[in-house]
Amino acid sequence: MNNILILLIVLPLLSSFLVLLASFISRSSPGKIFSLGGVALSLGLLCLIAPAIFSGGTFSYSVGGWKGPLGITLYMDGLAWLTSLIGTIIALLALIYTSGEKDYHPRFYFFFLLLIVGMQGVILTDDIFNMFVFFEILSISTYVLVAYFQTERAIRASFDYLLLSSLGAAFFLLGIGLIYQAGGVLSLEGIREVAIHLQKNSPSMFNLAVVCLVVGVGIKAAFIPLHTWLPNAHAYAPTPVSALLSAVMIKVSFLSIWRIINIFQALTFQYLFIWIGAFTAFLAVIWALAQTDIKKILAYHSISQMGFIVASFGVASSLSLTASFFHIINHSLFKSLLFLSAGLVIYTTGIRDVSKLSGLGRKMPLGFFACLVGSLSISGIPPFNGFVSKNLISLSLKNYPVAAFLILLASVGTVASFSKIMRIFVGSSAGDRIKKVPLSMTLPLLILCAFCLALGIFPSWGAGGISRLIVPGSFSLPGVYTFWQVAVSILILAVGVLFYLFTLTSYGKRVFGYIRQMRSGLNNSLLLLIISLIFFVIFIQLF
Amino acid sequence: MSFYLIIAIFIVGIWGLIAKDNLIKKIIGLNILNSGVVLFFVYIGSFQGTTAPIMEKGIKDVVDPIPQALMLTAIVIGICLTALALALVLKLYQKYKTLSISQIEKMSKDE
Repeated sequence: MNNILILLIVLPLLSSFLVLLASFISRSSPGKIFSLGGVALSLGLLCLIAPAIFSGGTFSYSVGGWKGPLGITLYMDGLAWLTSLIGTIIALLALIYTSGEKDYHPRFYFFFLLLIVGMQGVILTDDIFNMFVFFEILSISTYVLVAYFQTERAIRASFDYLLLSSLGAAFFLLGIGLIYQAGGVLSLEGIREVAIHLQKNSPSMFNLAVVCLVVGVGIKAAFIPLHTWLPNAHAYAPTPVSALLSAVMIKVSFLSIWRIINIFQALTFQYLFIWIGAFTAFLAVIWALAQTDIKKILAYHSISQMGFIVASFGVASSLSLTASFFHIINHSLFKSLLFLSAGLVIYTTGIRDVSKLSGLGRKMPLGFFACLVGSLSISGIPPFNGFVSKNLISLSLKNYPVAAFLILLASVGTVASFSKIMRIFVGSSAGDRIKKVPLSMTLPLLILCAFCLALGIFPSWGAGGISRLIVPGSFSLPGVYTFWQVAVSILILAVGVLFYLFTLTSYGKRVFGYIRQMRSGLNNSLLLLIISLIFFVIFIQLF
Repeated sequence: MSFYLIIAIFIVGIWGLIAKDNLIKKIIGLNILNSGVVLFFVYIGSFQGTTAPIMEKGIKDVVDPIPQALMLTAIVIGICLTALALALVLKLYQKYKTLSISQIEKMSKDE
């Protein structure tokens, strides 16, 4: 059973090389078959160990037979299993979608599979330097995939992302160096002991190391102020890649932060996350409201939803961790659903600007349905999954009214900006015909819709399972379908729609037009990274 | 002394990455930054021991080989990143006919 861990990494790696090999023989189909096969097999393996994980078991595997602390160990517990599962499911659905969208070159599948290798590696590894290596595999394949269409914007987005992320990686490496200097270990379990020692003896060194590690990974997890690369990179990537990046990559990066903070027991830092999260959720929604490009709106909402996740993580109670992780899963589901249905809109019409589209509902009923389910989920309307996790998040933020209020405002803004997206489906339409959509593009959408609905209708099933896997000890989840909570969500819906109507007035248009012009260039983004690093060090040093 | 030199190299790298307008110079800055980190690791490894860690009979007092092994990996990754970044710069130059980031950003202001 322990061999499954290495198979999860090796299977996509092997199929990526098979894809390239097969491309010498035949240009078209083998790529799809090998990549689908590899990922489907991984999914099967994950399902195979599900019973053992749910009964509290953990797995570990020493790579090459070299035992720790020097050898690299792979380790899987409930947290890693769930992340790996959701990542594999989304990757499989994105691959099915890809095979229908257009004829991608085998190179595309090669890098897509490498991205999955990096993702699995980051989740499973128990060695911090190995984590760095897998992060680089993940990032390098992402840079290539973002620039895949080689348009000016895509290349610029990829280049900006490369520089920012590499600067982050350099700091991550520096953090590893500081830890290694202090304790001479690299395995996460070994670091746990070193960290306790270091915190007592030289707290400033400890703080510097934690901040370097967290900012180094945080640049990929994209909370404000480290978010500057995300909107362009996610908006100009090919649609299946955007879905995978939004749904999986930023989550995997955040889970590494989760683990790092857990191991270092950096509680002041965890507290800071409440505020980072609340402001991220609020500010990103305002930017999202100002956009007109459909994929950019979704990309800004990825940042905003990360804010929800980060804020809830910061509270650090059993309930808030469950809520945070549940929202990670829900966001993966509905954001990939939204990106894929946005891809469907772009595929059939060729237009990305929401203000130029209208009346699509009658032409593409399925796309309309999928987008509606996704929008209702992300806005937190019952009975969809977003409602459950958003409610759990606001319950866990009970003791921080200001943060809870910012989160509430962010929910209102979410409704408003998704009213803007849904508007493209209603109204009169121009009479031109649209392209026919193959089944392989619509099937993933339907599956994701089913997931969104199922996790919303049976909250105890989803949230209960998660709390069993990631939180030690048992606690009772509060009910979410009470009268008050449903009433509040209806109120949010009403206020959100009203706010959307405000953005349509000439005054609202002027305000948001001004916000749209506010963009930070590459140099400012890099500078922002350094400034936030220094700010974090000072904050954690003072409190 | 060497520790301060490493910090200086690191900061020069950051400076190059942030303050230079030319894309190629930014990538050179990134490389200097990475070299700073590599030197830092090698410096950590140099604290104990004197002889090379070739484990044969009679060899004692070896240096810690792990930082060097780690840095070999990091250097390889750095080379991949540099190659990819230069490829992207080439594409950018073909599209915009300039290497200055401020001019590129000015040209694509209306997006």
